[in-house]
Amino acid sequence: MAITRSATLVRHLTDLCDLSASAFATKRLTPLRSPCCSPPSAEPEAAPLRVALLLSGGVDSSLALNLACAAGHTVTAFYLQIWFQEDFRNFWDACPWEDDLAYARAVCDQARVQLRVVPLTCHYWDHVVSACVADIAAGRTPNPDVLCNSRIKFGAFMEYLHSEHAGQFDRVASGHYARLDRWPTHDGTGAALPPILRCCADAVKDQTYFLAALSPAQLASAMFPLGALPKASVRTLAQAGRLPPAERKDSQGICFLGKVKFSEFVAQHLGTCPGSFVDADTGRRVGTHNGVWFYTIGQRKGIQLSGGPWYVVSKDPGRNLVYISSAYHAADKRRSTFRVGLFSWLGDARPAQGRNSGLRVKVRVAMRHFPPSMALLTRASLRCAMDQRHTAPA
Amino acid sequence: MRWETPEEAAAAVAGSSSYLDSLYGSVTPQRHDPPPSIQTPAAGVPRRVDATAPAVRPQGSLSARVELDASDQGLAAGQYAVLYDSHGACFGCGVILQGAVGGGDDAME
Repeated sequence: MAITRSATLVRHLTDLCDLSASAFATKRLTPLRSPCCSPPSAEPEAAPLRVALLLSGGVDSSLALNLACAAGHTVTAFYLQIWFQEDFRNFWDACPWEDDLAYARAVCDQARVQLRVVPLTCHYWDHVVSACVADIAAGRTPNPDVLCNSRIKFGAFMEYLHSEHAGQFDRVASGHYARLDRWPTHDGTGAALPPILRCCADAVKDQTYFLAALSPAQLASAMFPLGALPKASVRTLAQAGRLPPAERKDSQGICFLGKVKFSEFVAQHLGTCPGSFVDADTGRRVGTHNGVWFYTIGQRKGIQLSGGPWYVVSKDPGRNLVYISSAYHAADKRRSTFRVGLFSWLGDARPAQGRNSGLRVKVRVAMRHFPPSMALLTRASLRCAMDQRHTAPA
Repeated sequence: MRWETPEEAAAAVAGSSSYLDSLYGSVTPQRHDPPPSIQTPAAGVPRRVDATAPAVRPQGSLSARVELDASDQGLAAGQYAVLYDSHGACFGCGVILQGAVGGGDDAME
C-alpha cells in the first residue's frame, strides 16, 4: 500500500516536473534517497532537517507534510488548537476542531509521523482576535490571517517549541502557497544570507500577502513545501497519494470566524451604536446604520436604502458617520493613492522610490473568482518621507 | 451590549486589550522572533546559524505615499499593503493609514 502510494506520487511529481522543469529543478533531486522526488521548496538538498510541521487537517498542509517527509526530513506534526474560548462556543456553531483533528491524525498515521496537539486558543484570542476587534471598533479593516501567521503560527508556536522542545527543530513548515529562495552561500561575516519570500506558482492562490509581516528571523526558520505547486496540482498529488483529506473542501473566509458571520461576530463584541448614513455626493443624511464597525470601504451589502445601489465610500468613526454613494464607480470616486506606514521588512532589501522602479503592491489577496491574469499585483510608485502627520492609524 | 457613542465602544475594547498594545501595538505588524532553539541552516550548507539576530522593527515615524497605476476603490485604513519587486520578491508590508486614501496627485499632501 505504502509502496503503491509512493510510486503514484513519484509518477505525478515527475509529470509535474516535466511540465514545470524550472520550478522543480529535477536534476538536483535525489529520489533514491527518499521514497519519491520532492520539490526544491522542501529543501531536499539540506536533508535531514528536523521539521516541525503545522498540520491543520486540510489538503494543503497534509501534502506539505508528505513532501517534507519525501525530501528526507525528520518531521513532527503539530496541530494548533486555535478557536474561541470555551464560553464563545455557547453562542455559535460547534467549532471544527474534532473534524480537523481526526483528519490530522489520519494523515499522520498514514505517513507514520508523530502528531502533537498544542493549545493556543488563549494566545490566539489575546494576540489576534482582541487586536482585530479593537481595529474594527476604530473603523479600520484588520487582517487576522496576517496577524495569525506572525503572532501565532510563527510566533507563539515558536515560543512553545523553545519552551517545550528546545533545540529540537530546524524549521517550522506550513502548507502556505509561497516560495522561499535560499542562498547557498554566506555573507562575509559567515552569517547566512536571509531567504527571499517570493510569489508562488499559483498567482491566484499565492499567500505571500499573509506572510509579509513575518520577521527576518521567522522567515529564516520557515519552510513552505508547496511553493512550487499550483493548487490543482496539490489536489492531484493528494489524490494520487490517497491522503485522507484529498477530497476535503478548502476552508473559506477569515480564519478565526469559521462558520460565524462577520456581522454576528462584530455585533457580539461591539454591540450596536446607531449613526447616520450620509450621501457622500450631497452631504445629506439619508438613513441610519447600526454601527460604523459593520461597514467597510466598498461594501454594498447591508445598505437597504432606496435610490441605490449604495456603496460605502468612507467612514468617520469619531462622528459615527458612514458615507455612501450611489455613484460609486464615477471618476471622482476612483482611488489610486494612499499613505502607508508601520513598515515591517522581511530582510535588508527596500523598495526603490519613484516611478519606473518596478514596484508592485498588493492590498488584498486574490479571490477565487479572479482570473489568473488578475493577481492583484498593481504597478505602483513609492515616495518615502519622515512624516509626523501619519505616524499611527489614528 | 449597546454603546451610546463610538468613543465609548472603542474605549471598552481598548481597555480589554491595552496590555496587548504594549506588546504588539494595535495594528503594528510587529513579530515574534524565533527562540534560539530554531536554527537556520542555509540550503546545502551543513553549518547552522543562530537566527536570533535583532529583527528590523517597524519605523513608526516613516510613512510613504503609494501611487497605483490603476484605481482601487477598496482601499481602507488598516489594510496591509504588501510590496514586491517586478520579479515577485516580497520586501515586506506596511499598513494603510487612516485618512490617507485619495484619488489624485495632491490628495495625499
